[in-house]
Amino acid sequence: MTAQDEIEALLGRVAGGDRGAFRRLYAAMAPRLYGLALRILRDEILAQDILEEVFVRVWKAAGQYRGALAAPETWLVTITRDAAIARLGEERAAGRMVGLLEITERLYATRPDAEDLAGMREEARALEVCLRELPRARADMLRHAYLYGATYDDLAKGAGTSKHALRAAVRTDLVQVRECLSG
Amino acid sequence: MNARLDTELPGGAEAGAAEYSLGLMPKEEIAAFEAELAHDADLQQDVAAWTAYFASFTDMIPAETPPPQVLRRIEGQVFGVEDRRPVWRQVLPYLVGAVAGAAIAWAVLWSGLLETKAPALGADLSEPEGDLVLSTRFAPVTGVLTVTLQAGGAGEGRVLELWLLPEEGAPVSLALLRGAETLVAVPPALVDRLDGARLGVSEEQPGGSPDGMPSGDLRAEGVLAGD
Repeated sequence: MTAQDEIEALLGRVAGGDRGAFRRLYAAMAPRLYGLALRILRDEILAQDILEEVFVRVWKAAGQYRGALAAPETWLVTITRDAAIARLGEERAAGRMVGLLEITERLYATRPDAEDLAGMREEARALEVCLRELPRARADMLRHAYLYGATYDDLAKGAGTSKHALRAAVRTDLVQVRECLSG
Repeated sequence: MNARLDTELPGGAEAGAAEYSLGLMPKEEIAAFEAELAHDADLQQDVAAWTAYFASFTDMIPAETPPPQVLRRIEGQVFGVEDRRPVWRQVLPYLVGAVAGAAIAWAVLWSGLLETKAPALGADLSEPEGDLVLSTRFAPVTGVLTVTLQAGGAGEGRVLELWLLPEEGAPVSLALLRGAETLVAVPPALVDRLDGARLGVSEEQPGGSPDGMPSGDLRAEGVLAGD
């Protein structure tokens, strides 16, 4: 049984109310998801809130997981990312969290080096290879959006261009990446 | 995808699926996109594929161990009081309150202001082939289970741990029995399950069961019943 199969099996049992499976799922996934929430929010208390929110949701909604459309880990990562980004948006809107300039700094560390490619999962490597065909700043924008919740407004301000022009460029990039990934 | 986007912006629905998965789609466009997504299987596949690819952005982020209280908080929310963390730790605040509560309850009973219909429950716990004997008594008025060690005890460097053993589900640790008499403030949500409940006593390392389950065979057990 692969790690993915095991997590999928655990999710199935959690959907049936199996507490032991829930604890095993937590043991298997919480460090990864906490690391992610911590990276996005840069605040232990907020990241712990997110982890709590995610696992309470997993307990209540494990039955919503659709194995045909997403790998189990992807599902968990996605709901954690979405919850953390939503929280980041709230914190920023309330003026409790810094904006784009500061995140540009920390984003830098997230871009994998060439030597990292070999150790990556297939999807990660394929995406990284395709992103390298884009202008570097625009590939970084996609990471910004996913990992820090940057909007077109944020990105246009950072790039000193109009929102519409930037969006057209990004959408063209995305189609190019899609073709690259399909190739 | 609406017509305005198709004409004004490149990429069409394919780029829309990527924007949606990245979180870049402007808020005002999301409802229309999701309406289309709901009945377009190809679009669903596109979103699923992008979601999987973009999730890989997180692969490089190091895992971090969350502090243990996070799991306790989560279990408190999803399992209620029936979680397996040692209840002797959860109930310390209750215990302080229970002593005061017992005094107040006694005064209330004495003055005849409160009548309780719930009977007291009791159980004798004994070891089938050994000398360990405990008696327990639960007072519904105070919510306090009193555990008295009548004979025997834990081995050298060991401690006795009291468990509630539900017919289904995991055992619930109630207390570590360190002295001749232990007062256990039973969490309110457990109280209704005590009548007829099985209690068991295990022998554990000094800090109590390391994994939230009784270690080895139970040394003594019994069933709580009305007088």
